[in-house]
Amino acid sequence: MIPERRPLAEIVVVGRDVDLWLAALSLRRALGPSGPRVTVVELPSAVPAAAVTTCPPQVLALHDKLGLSEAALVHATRASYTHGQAFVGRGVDWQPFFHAWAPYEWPMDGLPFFPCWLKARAAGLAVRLEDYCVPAVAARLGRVVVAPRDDDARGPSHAGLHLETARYAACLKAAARALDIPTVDAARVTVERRADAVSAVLIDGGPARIEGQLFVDATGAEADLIGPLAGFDWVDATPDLSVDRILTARALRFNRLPPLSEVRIGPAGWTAVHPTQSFTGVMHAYSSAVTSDDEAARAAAAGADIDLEDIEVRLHRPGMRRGPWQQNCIAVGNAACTLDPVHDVDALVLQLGIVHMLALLPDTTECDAERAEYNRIMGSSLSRLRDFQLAFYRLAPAAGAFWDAGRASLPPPALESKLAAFQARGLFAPMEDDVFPAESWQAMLTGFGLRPASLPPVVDGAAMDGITKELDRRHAAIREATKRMPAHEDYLKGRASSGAR
Amino acid sequence: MAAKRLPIVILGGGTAGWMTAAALAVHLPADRYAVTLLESDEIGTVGVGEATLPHLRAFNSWLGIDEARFMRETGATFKLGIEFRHWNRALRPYIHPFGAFGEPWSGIEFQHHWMRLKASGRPVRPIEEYSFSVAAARGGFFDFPSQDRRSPRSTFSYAYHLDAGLYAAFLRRFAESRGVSRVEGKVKGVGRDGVSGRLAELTLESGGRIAGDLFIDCSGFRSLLLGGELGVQWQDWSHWLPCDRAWAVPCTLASEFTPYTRATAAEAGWLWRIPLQHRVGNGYVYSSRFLSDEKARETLLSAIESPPLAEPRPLRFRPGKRRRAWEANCVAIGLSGGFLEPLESTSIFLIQAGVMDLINLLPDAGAPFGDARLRDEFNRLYDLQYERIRDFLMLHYFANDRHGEALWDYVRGMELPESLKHKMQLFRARAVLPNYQYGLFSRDSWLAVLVGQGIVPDRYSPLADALPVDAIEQKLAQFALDIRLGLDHMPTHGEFIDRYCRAPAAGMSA
Repeated sequence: MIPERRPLAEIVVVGRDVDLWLAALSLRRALGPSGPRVTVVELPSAVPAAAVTTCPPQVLALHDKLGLSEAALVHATRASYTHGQAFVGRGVDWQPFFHAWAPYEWPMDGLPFFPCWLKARAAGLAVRLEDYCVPAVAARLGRVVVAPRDDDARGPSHAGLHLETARYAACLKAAARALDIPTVDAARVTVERRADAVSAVLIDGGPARIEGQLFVDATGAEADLIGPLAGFDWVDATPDLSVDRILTARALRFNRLPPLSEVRIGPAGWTAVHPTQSFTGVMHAYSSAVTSDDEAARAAAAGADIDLEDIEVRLHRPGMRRGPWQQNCIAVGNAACTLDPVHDVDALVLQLGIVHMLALLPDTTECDAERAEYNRIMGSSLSRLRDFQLAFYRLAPAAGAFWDAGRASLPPPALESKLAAFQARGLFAPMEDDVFPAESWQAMLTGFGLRPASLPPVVDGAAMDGITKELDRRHAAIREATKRMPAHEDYLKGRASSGAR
Repeated sequence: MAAKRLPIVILGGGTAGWMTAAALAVHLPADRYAVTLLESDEIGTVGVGEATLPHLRAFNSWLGIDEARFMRETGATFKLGIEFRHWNRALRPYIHPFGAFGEPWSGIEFQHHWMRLKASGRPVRPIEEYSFSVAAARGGFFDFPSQDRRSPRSTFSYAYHLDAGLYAAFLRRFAESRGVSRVEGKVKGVGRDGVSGRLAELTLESGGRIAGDLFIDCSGFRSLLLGGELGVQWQDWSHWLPCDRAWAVPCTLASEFTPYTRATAAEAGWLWRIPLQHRVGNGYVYSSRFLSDEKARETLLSAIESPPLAEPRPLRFRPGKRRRAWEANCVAIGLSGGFLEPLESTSIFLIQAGVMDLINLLPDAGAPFGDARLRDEFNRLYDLQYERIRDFLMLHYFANDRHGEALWDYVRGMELPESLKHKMQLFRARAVLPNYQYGLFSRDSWLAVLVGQGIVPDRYSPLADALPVDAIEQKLAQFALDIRLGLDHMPTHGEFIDRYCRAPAAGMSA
């Protein structure tokens, strides 16, 4: 059957919260006022009261393209900057390490930096890998990396943001409203199908209905549109990602806001602490097979070291839609894929979906090629992200039943290649559609104590003296440079005054 | 430390052997590795790879080679791209340049703006007029790319045409002066370790022996070690790339001194023309299924611009690759590991990629056979390179309008690999270019050949429509104008070579 080909005049975005408004705003901005109409169907919020969203630098770049002022966003959401995640131990034997949101180029004369560090480390160097990472060093000092000539509108380089999720969604919604995107409220939606396509969504069971030629599912993990159309990958294949419960809670604001988040590894799960200017978001992830909800609440309080309020527990079900674009329905964000929460990748998953959706947005109802490519590239990128997470749970050197479950998994072939190249030689095996760069893998794997069996001959044979000298020089230069960087608190105050204008 | 040095034996000189030897000599610690190269003056090298890709510049500078000297000693000229003639009779010849077409505006790739302007009935030029490197190539100009990112003269890269025989000789001097020992001789047999089956030594016709822990097979098509001794299976791609023979013949320059390679489609394949400083290299790559050797020879001789300087040389090859390039303690670099026809000058690139990966993944001097993971990663990267190039080469063939010629009728109808089918579907549907970061070729390369082969997308990205059409029209007009202005005061290819790297007339008679 030859699919009917009609120009695309009406795009309907159905969803809630950040996923909905970022998708709608991106579409409307990219298509302009003369393009197809973008209509929003807004469902009731499902954001836990104490939820904090981490926007890594890639998402801030998307904000830029959408014309969202970062200063205004920081002001309105009481956000704070983050250079990355510090993984630390609580009640378990654990060597802390830092996973920076963006690598920092600091080329070393002639030789690649990382194997040089490995070589020096094996010879007794005490300086940790993260001490050569400018954003990590600055963050540990409570400072943010601001290049002297950075555009004031952009904020610190190499940083992301922690945003109170509800306020962030409200900001995005206000920006969408300013563009006059027509919006329909709905308590629930049902999908009306004709032939091989979605023809409309029914509002609250009908008779009110919104017709369109293309539908975007931004409903979050509920996946109201795509759910009935596409199966779920990974869930059964990965008993190893054993987090199936997430507790969120609110705690008092830090006195001095660190520009980082902490993931505190506990005996039966982990507790993440996300500072913002108004409160501290606490998230505790655990497995219901190991821990009861009451025990989890106690573990969360112990992990956070502080009294918790607004405690909520929700189920967590990791997985990816088998083809997040079905028929004329494109899923973005958690409707397309839910990953483990440990690396704060929800906003990244949303950004990936939006960027690829825009690049492949069809202009007629015939879109087989675009659909195939979206499904290919999303499947591939999200699998690379999942590999990173599988590696985390597979190799995390913590004791206990929760952590044992993660170690039991068999790595998929792509992850096997990644780990083999690292373990053999400290090399990063490049894969198409990698999301995290080499530096992320290096930080995590060395953080777990992995030491490659050998080094590239170029570095192996290089004189130790020269390497030590260069590493010392670099270490000293980073300490000097970071000392002069602005304190996070001072920087936020400056931002507040420019954002309020 | 008096530890034993790991003995590496390279079998075969030629471009692959000496590129490998030179890189190992520069980048391996001399106290841990000992490199020996075995070759025989009696065995000729293929030396077809006279056209290269811009990547060779990185390889040469990685070795610390001075460009002007290298060009002088190899009779090299500059290459801005490849001109394809008559691949579609109805279309103009096109150039696949080492450079960009237009620029992305508002994050939307150039071809969408170009198509949108055309669709809205505005005046728009052929796509190649938005490429500085094509304009320079057509004009016969050359100069180094500008560092000024705002200038159209910064939007290109370049490669070389070189005499592969002279390049091998150049690298031989380079490598020998850096500690590589060369042994003259022919292999008679291969000794294997009785327990592990690994290669242990080469025995020579002269009776000598060369023992090693790692063997690098640069023996060319014969693949003496990897294919012959270890029996690693051949993956045949001749159903996708049917050309399997060539004639090669040099002549003197009697036509334009082009800063580009020419590839002219013919009855059962294509003819190459590669201008060097001291001669023009010519050849006819054809499929023996569709043309006799004698007919091919005649076609070549009648096509060249001046009388031949030597008897045409026949070459036979099989398109495809070995299942693994690294097996046991043997690594194939160059033609011993696989062959893809020289249409896009990828042979020397594949040598270079193999050498650069090998340098990183070479066995530890202290544990020569210890780690199969290094081998696996090498083979993974090798597969990726071959498959990428294969798809790009096939694109030139199947999109042709040469009806009534058996080869061209065959390739027009052949079943494509899934990876290529998907790329074609996506470009045809909406002008989306292949999206990958590892391996050849760039998006601009795909654009040049797709458009050049006459593939016209149905649609373009609707996001392009969001920009004001007048502004885009103006941007494109300005861009084309800047290109023409950028050609001002650019030296011709010949002038530039005279100034920079002209070889003395004598001593270039190879």
